[in-house]
Amino acid sequence: MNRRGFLQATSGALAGSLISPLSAASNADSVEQSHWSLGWQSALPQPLEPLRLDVSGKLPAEVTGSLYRNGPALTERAGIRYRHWFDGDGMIQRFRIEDQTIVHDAQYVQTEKFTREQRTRRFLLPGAGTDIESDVPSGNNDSGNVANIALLPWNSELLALWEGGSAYRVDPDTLETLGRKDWRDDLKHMPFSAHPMVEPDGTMWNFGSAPYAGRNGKLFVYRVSSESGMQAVQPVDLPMSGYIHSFTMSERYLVFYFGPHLFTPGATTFVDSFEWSGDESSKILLIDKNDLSAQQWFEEPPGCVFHCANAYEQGDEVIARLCLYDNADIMQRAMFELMRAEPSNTYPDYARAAFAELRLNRTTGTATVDTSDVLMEFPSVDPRAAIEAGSVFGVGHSDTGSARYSDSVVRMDVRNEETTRYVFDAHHIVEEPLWVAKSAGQGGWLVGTFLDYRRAQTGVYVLDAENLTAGPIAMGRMSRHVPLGFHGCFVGVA
Amino acid sequence: MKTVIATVVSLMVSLALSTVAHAASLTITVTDIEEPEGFLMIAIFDVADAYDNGGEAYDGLRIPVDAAEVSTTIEDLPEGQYAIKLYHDANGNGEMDTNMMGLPVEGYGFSSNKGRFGPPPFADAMFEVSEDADNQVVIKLR
Repeated sequence: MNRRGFLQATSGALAGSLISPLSAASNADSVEQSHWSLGWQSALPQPLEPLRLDVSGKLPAEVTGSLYRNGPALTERAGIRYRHWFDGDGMIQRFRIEDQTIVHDAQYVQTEKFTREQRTRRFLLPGAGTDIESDVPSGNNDSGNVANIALLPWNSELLALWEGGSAYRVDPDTLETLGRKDWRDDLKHMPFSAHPMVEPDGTMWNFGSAPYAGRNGKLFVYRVSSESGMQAVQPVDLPMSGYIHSFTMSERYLVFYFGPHLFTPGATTFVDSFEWSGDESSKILLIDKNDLSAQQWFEEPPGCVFHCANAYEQGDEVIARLCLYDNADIMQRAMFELMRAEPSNTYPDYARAAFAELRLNRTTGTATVDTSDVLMEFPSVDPRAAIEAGSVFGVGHSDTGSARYSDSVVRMDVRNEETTRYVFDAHHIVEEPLWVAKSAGQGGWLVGTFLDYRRAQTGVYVLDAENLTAGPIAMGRMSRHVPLGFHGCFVGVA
Repeated sequence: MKTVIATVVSLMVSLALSTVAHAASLTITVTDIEEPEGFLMIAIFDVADAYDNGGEAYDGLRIPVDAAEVSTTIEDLPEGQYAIKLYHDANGNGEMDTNMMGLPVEGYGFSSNKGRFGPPPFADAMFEVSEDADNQVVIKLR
């Protein structure tokens, strides 16, 4: 793999102690209180009533609205703890931001699984990575749907997204679950990924991955109109049954990256069905949006991708920005370890994604990848900026040894290959930055959540995307903490 | 001729008596029905090979659905081993509708809740029907 040495003009604030929480702790209670694993502690199976945050700094006018986050929150019932981070029931955290105040509340997505298990107060259905002893059979892909990965505003509702089955519809005001989103009768219970992408005209693109279908697995590519619903479904037979979590797109092409992270039927759980096959190559699929049957495959040395940023076209090439792992240990190993709260207090070097650019030459049929030294996950972009010149934002890790997980927000300026970052105080775990445009001119705010596990507080940060090193221009903290999640969205008040 | 008729009548009587002597009733209760409409399409098998390999059922029933739980009783079922497959024809089109992957989009079930990701084989789904027993089978719709 080609490693390009991106210039790292890294700077930032490094306040607070760098002593690890474990070594700094003087007794068992404080170890418990200040351990990073607080972020993976189960929530209770009930909604959270509104609670006001303490706000410092000045919240910008553009950041008025609701920050919604989704993630696995209920990870224990009746003495059974889930094994894998993918397993927990999805809970929607909402932070309503208005007039220098932030108020938090939360509600579980009332999936068929959650509702059923609420009645019995125990897990009845298998998780993605945990088998559960029970006599309740799985009838379809939505039987174990936990709707726990992401949220998308769609036609005045929120879609609570999973990837193995349907999205769930949620009322953005009441957080009430409105039911499963069935796009069409023949698409009920079909896999629908947690990472749809929406065009400026409102057209949504997404896919469903069924590695268990057909000979080597199938991909279903969806085009959805905000007005008329599902417009096109293109089934694709895969050359290998690789795991895929998200995709990206340029103006004309859809880009799907399949690492050699291969599905074999027969394992006890979905996660255990996958195995990394490092001797095989990654395969990348390019699909023409104007003709979904026009498909081109590329090969690359093995790599693993969860999240993509964006893509653009330049001559014969399509260039896609990705967060690239060397292998699939993040899913097959790290996500089990996080749930076990294993005592490791450093960020595992086997589960680090780096910002990378993938170049697909449509004429020669060849692919190359430039992988940077910049650790980045949960990428976010300014949708208004020219993609080739724009920046990519994400969470990163500063290697200070103070956090088991992401502790910083990173900006990768692709134009001059510079990186800037803001490192939060020790004992903070930082979640996905979401882009909120400034009303005038260029630039925007990055809005996200964090967990301060020493104080057992969850909070909200607002950073100036143009000046990360200045640190948060506003922060809110509340006197309770919620489990760390995956993805969210910001819905502004017009 | 009289002898032939007498023999046939005697055979019929004996068959009828034997049926009455070794028949039972079976109550099938189906739970977890999502939409209280349409019909339950129930196939009762008495031969393992037919159940396991898509063969002909011993009997078929079409029961209207008006609640989340529906029961029906079959009378005069010969004693023996049976297994049941059923689906909920919610839209009443006479077919088990499937999605683009070929997987069911209408509820279905078997006379055993084993087989968490697919149909249990006859050996797992089988139950006994006997004259002296209160023959009940409860099927959770998947």
